[in-house]
Amino acid sequence: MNQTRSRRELLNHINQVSFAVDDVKLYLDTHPDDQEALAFFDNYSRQRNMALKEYAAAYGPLTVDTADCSRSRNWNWINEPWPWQEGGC
Amino acid sequence: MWIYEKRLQYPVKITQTNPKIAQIIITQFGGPDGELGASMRYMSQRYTMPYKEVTGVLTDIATEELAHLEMICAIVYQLTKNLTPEEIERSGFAPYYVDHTLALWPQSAAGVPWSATTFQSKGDPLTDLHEDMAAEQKARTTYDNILRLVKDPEVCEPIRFLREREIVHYQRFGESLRIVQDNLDSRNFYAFNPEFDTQTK
Repeated sequence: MNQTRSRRELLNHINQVSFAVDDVKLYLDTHPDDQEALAFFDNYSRQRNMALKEYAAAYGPLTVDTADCSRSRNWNWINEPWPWQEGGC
Repeated sequence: MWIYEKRLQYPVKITQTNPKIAQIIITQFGGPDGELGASMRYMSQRYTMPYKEVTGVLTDIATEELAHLEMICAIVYQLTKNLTPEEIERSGFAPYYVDHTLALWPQSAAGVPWSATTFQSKGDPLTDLHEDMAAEQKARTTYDNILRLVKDPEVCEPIRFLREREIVHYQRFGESLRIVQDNLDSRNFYAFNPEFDTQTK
């Protein structure tokens, strides 16, 4: 069951949970005491951080904080396509 | 401090080039109501904003606008990728091409270079937030105008996403304006400027 998701599938998941975080973050700026929104943020933020780590381990880092050089002999931040390029989106 | 994330906020995957449409969409990169100006406007206004909720909104929306700028650039890049000199001639892309080849450069659809004169940072929260709300509506109208001209669903989808974000940002700036007014003298909102005057109570 713990099979690695395909690149496309995992990136879509990251885009979706990250968007939830982006959107509720703006809402929380003007509604900082909304308990439901705080719980929503927590849930999606946790999913996002887990997915970013999973992606980095399988396909290379999307963020500098998930770049791990311990198992690699070269700097893999530059190896995966950039987001405007083919295969980067 | 900013940290780059190696993905777009919403995916852009365009398979058909179209330099005519690229020349129109580039206005949301460097035009009067584009994403670069939007980001710089909020980025500039936030330093003197005295209310923490509103400083948060300005910072986070300014940051999101940078992600929108990247999406617009990705759209223009993919719409003009691998063009031949013949296609450039035929599509009317030659005036842009001669100065920038196929690189991205912030200009309006009419070729006017990006300019800081398209926005204000006035140092008065009522003035700045009215400007910000108007800016989101102007950007929304620009996206509506683009959507009337574009037929390719691969281009329309990310443009529709960007249009919807303008509406959300407008809402958040409206709430910010209410927060500012709650902090002012309800009998005269203009009694003092909280970004400049020292309050004597």
